[in-house]
Amino acid sequence: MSSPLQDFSGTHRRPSSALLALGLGLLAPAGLAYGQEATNTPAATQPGVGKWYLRERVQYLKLGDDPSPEDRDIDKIVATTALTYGITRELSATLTLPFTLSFEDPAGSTGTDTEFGAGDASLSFKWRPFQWDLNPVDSVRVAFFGGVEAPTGTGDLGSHSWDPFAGVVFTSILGRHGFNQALSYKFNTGGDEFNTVAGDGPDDALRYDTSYLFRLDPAEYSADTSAATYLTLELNGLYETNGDNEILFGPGVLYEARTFAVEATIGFPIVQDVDHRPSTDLMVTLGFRFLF
Amino acid sequence: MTSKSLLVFAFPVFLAAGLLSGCAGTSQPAPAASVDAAAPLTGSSATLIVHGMSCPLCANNVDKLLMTVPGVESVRVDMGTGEVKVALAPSARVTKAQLAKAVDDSGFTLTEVRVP
Repeated sequence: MSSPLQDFSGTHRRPSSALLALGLGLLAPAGLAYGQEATNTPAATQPGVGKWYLRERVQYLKLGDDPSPEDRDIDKIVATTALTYGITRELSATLTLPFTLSFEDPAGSTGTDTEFGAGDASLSFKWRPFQWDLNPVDSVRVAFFGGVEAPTGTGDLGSHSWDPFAGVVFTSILGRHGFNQALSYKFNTGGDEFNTVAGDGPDDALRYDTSYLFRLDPAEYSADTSAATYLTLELNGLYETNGDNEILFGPGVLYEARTFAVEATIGFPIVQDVDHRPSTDLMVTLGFRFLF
Repeated sequence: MTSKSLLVFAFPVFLAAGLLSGCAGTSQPAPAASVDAAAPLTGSSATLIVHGMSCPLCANNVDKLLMTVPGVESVRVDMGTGEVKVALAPSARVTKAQLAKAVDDSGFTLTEVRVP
């Protein structure tokens, strides 16, 4: 016997054209755009109510063209832990804490300055007011997120200021194809003149990220599906109000099982117009995600 | 090509691709009729039709939330068809409303409950 569910109105969300127009309209003025979440691009996804989602990323960064008087060659390893909690179906909270190991070689010096410590932690909230699940697999979602970066960083590893940020992300999944497009703005209230963290200087930062995911395997989901492998392509852009602009192109792979995922991405610059901080020459990211 | 022109070019392309992909799938859940959601299910199983389970990790939210419903013994998800088969304890008085809330809390869209 089939029992349709008109009275479960909370679970049956049919998109109205007005809502769709509003959702897209909110994105259009910007001129831009878990599951299928690429490594360095946000997605309009979140864990279920009462569930926790742990994400660990380790990044190797090679920075060059330091404009400071020391003209440093800089290598960094940044381990970022992000813990997300599903508060309601539409709302989640995320606590993010990075730790950095930094190696700096000033020009003309034979020694290497090494620094290790916490970076700036952040607390953010994501609200997903628009979600249209079109069929068993396809879904279109829009979420807004915002939070604050706290001055927990030690030494040169933080901005020593409270920096609020806000953004919007659009996610669409159609069969084997997934798209995520995000735009966010960080109001930097402080920051060192010769900072080495992209987007953490005294000027505000606009991040514009987009990602495409292609499900390599399986081609079709079935009752036996227990994992999926994706090819990911990302464009991660950062514009700072001092005029610096940088876009990294990042191909990668993502393997997703039922309770965990692992990912690897390599990023290199395709646009680099950076004068006020060291530019990013290479970024390699390894990640792990766990739902519990 | 300057960085500004590359930026101007890249984003409309990706935005258009994303929006087109979102608008391409137009199938909607079937219109639903009334059902007694508070009445306990009488059988030993139920099949839920769930939309939006687009990846294994996110679909696991459905398993986890349904397993928190007292009387649900096991959950099996077919992401291809959207069928979520739920085994119920013989003496359990699980209602459709409980199952529907669990799916809702998992972040997906329940379109139908089938009971034998």
